[in-house]
Amino acid sequence: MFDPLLHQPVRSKLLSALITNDELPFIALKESLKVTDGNLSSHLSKLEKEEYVLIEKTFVGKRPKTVVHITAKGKKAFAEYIEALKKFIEEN
Amino acid sequence: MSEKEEVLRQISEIKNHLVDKETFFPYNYNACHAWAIIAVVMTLVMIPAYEYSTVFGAGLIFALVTIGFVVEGSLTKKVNERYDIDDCTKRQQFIMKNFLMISLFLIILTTILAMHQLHALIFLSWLFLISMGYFAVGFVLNIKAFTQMAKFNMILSLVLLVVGAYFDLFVGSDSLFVTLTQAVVIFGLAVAPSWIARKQQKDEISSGSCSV
Repeated sequence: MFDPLLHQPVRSKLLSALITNDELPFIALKESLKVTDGNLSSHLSKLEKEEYVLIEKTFVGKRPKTVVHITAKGKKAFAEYIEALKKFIEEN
Repeated sequence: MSEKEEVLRQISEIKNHLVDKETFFPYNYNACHAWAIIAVVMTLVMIPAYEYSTVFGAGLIFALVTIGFVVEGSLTKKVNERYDIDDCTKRQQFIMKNFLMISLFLIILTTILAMHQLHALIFLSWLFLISMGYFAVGFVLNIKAFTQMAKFNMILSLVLLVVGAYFDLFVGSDSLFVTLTQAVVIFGLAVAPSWIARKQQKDEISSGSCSV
């Protein structure tokens, strides 16, 4: 009924933050979601595998910087997930 | 928890995270403490500096204000780095521009007033206009304590303006009225903002917010 990839607290919050901002640095996402590096990386890998997000790794000087982008597929999946939640509430 | 409760909780969590980065990227309240120190120094040295020479006074005030902006800029950069943000957010830019414009106008106004020995009026101008800046910041960042403090300061400066005008107390540098306005400026632009900033920092730490 619900997209199993998105029907998970951290991943749904992650997509919520990205849908509003299109892209966010990894550190900002970590602070916003209050999760550990490993936890966030694990959730991002799952979302990246389904092409819901795109992870861009660059260097600012000598410092690595990771930015997470939401893809068109991710936006569509999130919109459908919200619709499914709304429909469930209306029917129950 | 029933499935419906679970879904409602999920919707609530999603709503809470549908925030623009402008909202959750923080303002560094340590800047308020830096400005408080500058306000105290400026209030104490302003009269002697302008009495020494108008150019020296204006230069010193400009230097102190510049130090304030450099400190605020570096504190903002530091907090943004924590989030891997390269540029200032629109909110941070608004705060800086707001105080920059007010400060530049005040330096010009102060120089003109100092040339006419209107020292009490100088302090009242700083109190009123910088409080206007705090009002704008409080309004934009939704910090009620800042807007209330700013309103109180502005009303107080207007009351002192009326009292000073009625009793003709503006001219001179060693009257009780000048000392009173200095004390009010130190309280209104140093003690009160610093106390509010400290309270904000404590509140944000206890609520687990992102701000620093």
